[in-house]
Amino acid sequence: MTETDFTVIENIKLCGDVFKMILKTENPQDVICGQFINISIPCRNDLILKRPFAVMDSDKGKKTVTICYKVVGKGTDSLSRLKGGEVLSGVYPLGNGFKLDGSHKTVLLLGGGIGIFPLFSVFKCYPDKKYHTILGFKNKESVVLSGDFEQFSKELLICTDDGSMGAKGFITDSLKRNIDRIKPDIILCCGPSQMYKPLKDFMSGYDIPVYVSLEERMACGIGACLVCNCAVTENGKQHYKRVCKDGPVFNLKEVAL
Amino acid sequence: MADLKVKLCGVTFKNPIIAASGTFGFGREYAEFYNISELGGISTKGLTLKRREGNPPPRIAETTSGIINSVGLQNPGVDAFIENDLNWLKQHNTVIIANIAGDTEEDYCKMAEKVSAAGVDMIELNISCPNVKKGGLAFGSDAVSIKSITAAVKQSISGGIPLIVKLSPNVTSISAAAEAAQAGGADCISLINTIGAMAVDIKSKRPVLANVFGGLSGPCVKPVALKMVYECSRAVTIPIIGIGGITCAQDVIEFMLCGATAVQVGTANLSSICASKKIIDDLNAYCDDNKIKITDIIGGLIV
Ligand SMILES: Cc1cc2nc3c(=O)[nH]c(=O)nc-3n(C[C@H](O)[C@H](O)[C@H](O)COP(=O)(O)OP(=O)(O)OC[C@H]3O[C@@H](n4cnc5c(N)ncnc54)[C@H](O)[C@@H]3O)c2cc1C
Ligand SMILES: Cc1cc2nc3c(=O)[nH]c(=O)nc-3n(C[C@H](O)[C@H](O)[C@H](O)COP(=O)(O)O)c2cc1C
Ligand code: FES
Repeated sequence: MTETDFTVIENIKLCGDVFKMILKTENPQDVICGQFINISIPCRNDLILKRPFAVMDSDKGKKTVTICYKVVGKGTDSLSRLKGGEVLSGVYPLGNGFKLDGSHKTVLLLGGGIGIFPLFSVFKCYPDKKYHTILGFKNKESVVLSGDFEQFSKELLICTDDGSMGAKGFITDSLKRNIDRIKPDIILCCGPSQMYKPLKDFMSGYDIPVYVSLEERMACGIGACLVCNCAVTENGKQHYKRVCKDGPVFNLKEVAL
Repeated sequence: MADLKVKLCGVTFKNPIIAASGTFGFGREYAEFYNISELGGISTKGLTLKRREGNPPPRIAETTSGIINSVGLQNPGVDAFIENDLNWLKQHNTVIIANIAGDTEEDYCKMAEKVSAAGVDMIELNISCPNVKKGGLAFGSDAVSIKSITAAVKQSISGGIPLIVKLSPNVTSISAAAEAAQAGGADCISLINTIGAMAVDIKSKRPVLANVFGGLSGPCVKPVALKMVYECSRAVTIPIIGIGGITCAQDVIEFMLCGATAVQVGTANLSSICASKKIIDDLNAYCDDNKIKITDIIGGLIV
């Protein structure tokens, strides 16, 4: 873990309001898939908190870190205007990340909206698994990175809310239709928080572990300030954990919804 | 290397920079980034008698040059702190300040007994947390109760450990609060804690924080904090620790000119993990460049 300066190498629009940013640092670190980076917004003294983004890709040799982000507010809007050569401060790698073991041969990646970004690096960490991927977007125009996911997935299923591309409906609908055929050993998921309750209810009928990457508003990002809490149930007791340090990846069974 | 040493109530700090309560945990997370022995001191996350879960999420909102938090004193409880964290902290060469908060006077006194027996360097009485329903701020909002809780806790402390009373800015007269702490036997005061605040989401028409209210901190509170520190420095003779919106060496100097002997850095640690370390380095350069020692600055405001 380090707090270090990054230079913007590339900051390009992928589609609509989604951007891809490649950052370079003189202090590269090893990153586990699903870990994140907390970055400052340069030249914005009014925005004092760093913003968390999944590390989509990192190359220690080339000293680069890649993130993809959607413009949703002041911070991401300012990020989208950064030009190559500009410098920002980042803290990484943060959080626990996704972990697979030998028993996980068939992996189902389930991602909705910006939730697809943390899933992208799983393949790079674990290239020997068989991947089935279900991605959900609002509409055809907001579909991103489908080509990249397709490359490493045995099968890629796309759904859109309005049916303008792939199947119409949510990724949970697609999961219900396909899970018995895919027979995953594990499901790794990241999406809008509203989907976790129906997902948890549905998956209670299966003996398949589901790991989800949660989002919560953060400050320090390293586990010290306790602002990023989420409720988990352990041994029948509910208590708070830190999304930034104990997560962001949690066993869906434990997440109190 | 300039002389950055300051002395507060007989305790020597290698420099005037103290990590503010609640922004630094018990130091462990920051120790993975830099040597926390470089700090003048560390004020622990607010401790309560029993473990406390704190408020539901979301607990933070960002506002222009500030943040509003409603953590609500989540902590493992004073016993767990003493058992699991204090010895680790003591291995570091920095002043350890136990920040304590209670629901009742009895709670405060029991905790003061426990942490003084366990051996901390100083005790900071948090009677100013805006984020808990009972206690906290209730003790810190009027002069009579500030004086009586200070006196009661002072009695419970053994071994001559100095008592800092942390004042709330959410009062009519900060100098009256400071005088009350001094009258109750406080060895030192620290201020300010966070300012009562809220944030609204116009899309959902709901408060951003689940707790509705929170406490404002960060650069936006600095002018308020400076005024309060200056007012207190004219009202009391005990030393003052200045807190509120400090992000750089210049801010520290401003507080010291207004009469603070030392300062606490809070929100800046969240914006930048290594902020406190950088402030110390920059203070060192400032004193070297100006050929002064840090204590020359204290109370030097020309009015
Ligand atoms: C572990 C983690 C990984 C993430 N990975 C990605 C990613 O790969 N790509 C991506 O586009 N987004 C990601 N997000 C969400 C991203 O952090 C927010 O969209 C971003 O912080 C919004 O900042 P803003 O200033 O534009 O929005 P504003 O709404 O103006 O921000 C105000 C405050 O709220 C916080 N905030 C707002 N929305 C979120 C959110 N959804 N989650 C956490 N904090 C939020 C901001 O950080 C800021 O402190 C991730 C969030 C987390 C917690
Ligand atoms: C996330 C957070 C948690 C805090 N928790 C405590 C606490 O437990 N006890 C306490 O006395 N003050 C607490 N504070 C207040 C700070 O110690 C400090 O007084 C205040 O934030 C103002 O300083 P700053 O602007 O440098 O942050 C907390 C502040 C923040 C931002
Ligand atoms: S963001 Fe500070 S503990 Fe998680």
